[in-house]
Amino acid sequence: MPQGIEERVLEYLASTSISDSSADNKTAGIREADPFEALALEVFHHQFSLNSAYRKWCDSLGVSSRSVSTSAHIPAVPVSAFKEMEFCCGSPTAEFRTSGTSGTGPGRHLLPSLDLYRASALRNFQACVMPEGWKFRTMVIAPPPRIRPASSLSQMFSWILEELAGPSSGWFVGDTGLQSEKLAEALLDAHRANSQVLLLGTAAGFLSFYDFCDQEGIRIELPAGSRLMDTGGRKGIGNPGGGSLEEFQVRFRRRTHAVLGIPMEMCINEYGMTELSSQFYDSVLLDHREKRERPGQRVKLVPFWVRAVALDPATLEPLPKGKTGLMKFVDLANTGSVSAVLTEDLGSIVEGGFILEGRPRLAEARGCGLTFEGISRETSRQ
Amino acid sequence: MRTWILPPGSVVPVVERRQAGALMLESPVVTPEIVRSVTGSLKASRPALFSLKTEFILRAIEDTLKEWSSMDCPARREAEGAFHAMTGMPAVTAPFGVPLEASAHGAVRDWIRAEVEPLEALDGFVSVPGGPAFRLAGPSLAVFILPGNIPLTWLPTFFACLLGRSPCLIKPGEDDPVTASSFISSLIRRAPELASSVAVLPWKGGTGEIERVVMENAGVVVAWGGGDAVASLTNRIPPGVELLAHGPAVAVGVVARESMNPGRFAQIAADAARDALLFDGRGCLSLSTIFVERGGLYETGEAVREMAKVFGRVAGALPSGRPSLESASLVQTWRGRARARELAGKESALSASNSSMDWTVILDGDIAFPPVPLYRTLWIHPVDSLDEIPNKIIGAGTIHALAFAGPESRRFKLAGELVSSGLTRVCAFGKLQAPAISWSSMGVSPLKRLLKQTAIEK
Repeated sequence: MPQGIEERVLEYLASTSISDSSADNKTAGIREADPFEALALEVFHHQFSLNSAYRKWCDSLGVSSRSVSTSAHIPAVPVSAFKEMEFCCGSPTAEFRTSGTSGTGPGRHLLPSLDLYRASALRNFQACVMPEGWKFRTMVIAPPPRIRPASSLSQMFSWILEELAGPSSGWFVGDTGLQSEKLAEALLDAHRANSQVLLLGTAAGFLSFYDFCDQEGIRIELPAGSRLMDTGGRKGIGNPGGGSLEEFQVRFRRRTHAVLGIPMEMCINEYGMTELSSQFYDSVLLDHREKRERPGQRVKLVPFWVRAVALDPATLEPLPKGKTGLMKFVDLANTGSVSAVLTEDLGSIVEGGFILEGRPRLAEARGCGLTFEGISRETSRQ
Repeated sequence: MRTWILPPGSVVPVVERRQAGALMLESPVVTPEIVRSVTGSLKASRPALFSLKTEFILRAIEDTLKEWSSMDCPARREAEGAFHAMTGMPAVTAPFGVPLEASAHGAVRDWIRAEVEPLEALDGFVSVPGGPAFRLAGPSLAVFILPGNIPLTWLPTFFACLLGRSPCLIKPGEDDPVTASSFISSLIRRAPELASSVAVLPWKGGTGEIERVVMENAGVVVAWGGGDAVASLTNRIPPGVELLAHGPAVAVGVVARESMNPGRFAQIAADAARDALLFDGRGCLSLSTIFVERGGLYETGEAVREMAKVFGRVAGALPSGRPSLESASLVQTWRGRARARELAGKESALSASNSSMDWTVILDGDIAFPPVPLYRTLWIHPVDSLDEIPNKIIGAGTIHALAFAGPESRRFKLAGELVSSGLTRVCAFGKLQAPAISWSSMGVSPLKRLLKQTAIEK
């Protein structure tokens, strides 16, 4: 019996060496032997025929199934469209929602199966955040799926706890919110036991915990090798201290070092969104391990089953390396919904991945212009 | 091109040349010492400024405006060329923010006469029957922080300061680095007596020590900027210094059902397109959203199709500048959203120029406004009745102006319901971007805001 497309993509995700691929800039070109291109086109045809919303989208752009001959030409769906349409190949068995703070409802990512999301999330996380293969004592500063069933982030953390975590791991957000005291105790215990820790959560959650530590005078020197993965950017925080996303992240890492003793190279930022089944991690840990120098801003690695491109926002044409534009991804882990997704984030393609520059500001600095206050466009993952 | 003018006797700055787009700009290296020297010179010029007659200053203003009214004026052409090079916007898309021709031929004089009574109160103490002798004067030093999007929009306030004998320190906008120095050069050439009282000095915004020195010496700061810039200025302004901040605002349009017919709507659409596309939609009087009332001869869908057709044509006549990454990204986001809403069967429609940011028209039955005014975009929101509009507008942000098409009685009714909303003008479509010289986005004429009275009681 012939395999379905999801099975073949799953096989593809499992078959290639991720460390080789992440070091290689997949966005720069396509290796002849790489089956990505053929698979991407197959996935497109699969979605065109089974995903009626996506087919409508393509029709509205005048794109037929036959007019797409390379993965670069696969019509991308903007993340804002996920607020309005149900993009799913067949019947959904899972639904994730964005936080929906734009005032017009959340975005919804419907999936017929979680297999590809799971495989993609675990494989990439392991490669970029815990390449040693150790089982860390893992502490999650995010609500579990029981509390946030529609959160794709909680789902991913849940899989990490199930599959990759060591003993005494767990959640530190409960029904009543962040459990700072419990977390502080667990971290102190890890310190006393000289047990390396992996912390996972949103930047907002970590900053809230650091505030607690400041109030209580808590400073913990976690054992060497401990690490932290943060996500969510400034969502829920605003723009304290001003400046760019990069400046915010530098301040965040300094504070992490001050409170927990985790060095900069062990603070790995994740960029992900509900609408994409794959995630992108800072290259910093792998660079450190491989003694690779990358001057300038941090680079996000692109897993081999994804193609990233920056588009000129005025024309939606691809930009050359180093030029900032709207980030578009073709993500084979999204086989069950829409593989080509146009984000609302700015970034630029560089050697080895891309640099994320964040969301365009709501209002430009200009003589006269209006910010309709009270409406925020921060979306991303719940 | 030179971006600065200093009063005679100021410290001579080091000048550096820098490439800005296609321009080679000459700018001084501004230090706190230079700012101290310039503000000191300006303030010291006040007695000389007081010795000039109002008629002399008015004549100098009018003569300069006459010179600039000519398309052949070299200073004007230099300014327009520089603005085009910086923003990509040609003069047809970004005309000067004041009516030069009318202002040169009596509009400024009429405005001053209408608001300053008697005019001689600007020259010295005057007595009026039954009242004390009084004189009018502006602040000791007026600091202008100019916008970069609309050239010369600051002139009425500047004229008010000069007539109030306030020396002026002007910081040009980053996207418009030459217009201020070009205009002031013309003015000083006409009236060299003003040379000691006006300076144009480009410093980098947010430069702590420089701005501290500027603020400490100012009597009033007149600033144009976005929400963040205005908030930052408000926090830094010293006690006793007045701030006239022209912050974020927008204009909307309303088409009553009586005007929703084939005979009227084509002209309304053409005028609306011009109101929306001038200055690439980046001005505080740029038309951002139109409310169209259902129940007319034209259905909403027909109106949108007509608007899109006209928009494309007008966009061709008003070529775009260069959208910023942020502007273009936001337009793409909302284009995508509108397309998706349309496909999802919601009351939404997207019309846009292909593969460019030239123009976008979006109809949305649920969302009254985009979160920010979008680059060269008109948002159309249908309503069942004009009665719905105040609730949608009030609290949504600062609406400076409203263009209206429909019966006069309904125009007055709607305007009456919006008097406390920050609305300062109601006009016809096509007139939004051409306010009278006396208009102020603050709803109070700069003459009235800036000129203070000193009375001598008997």
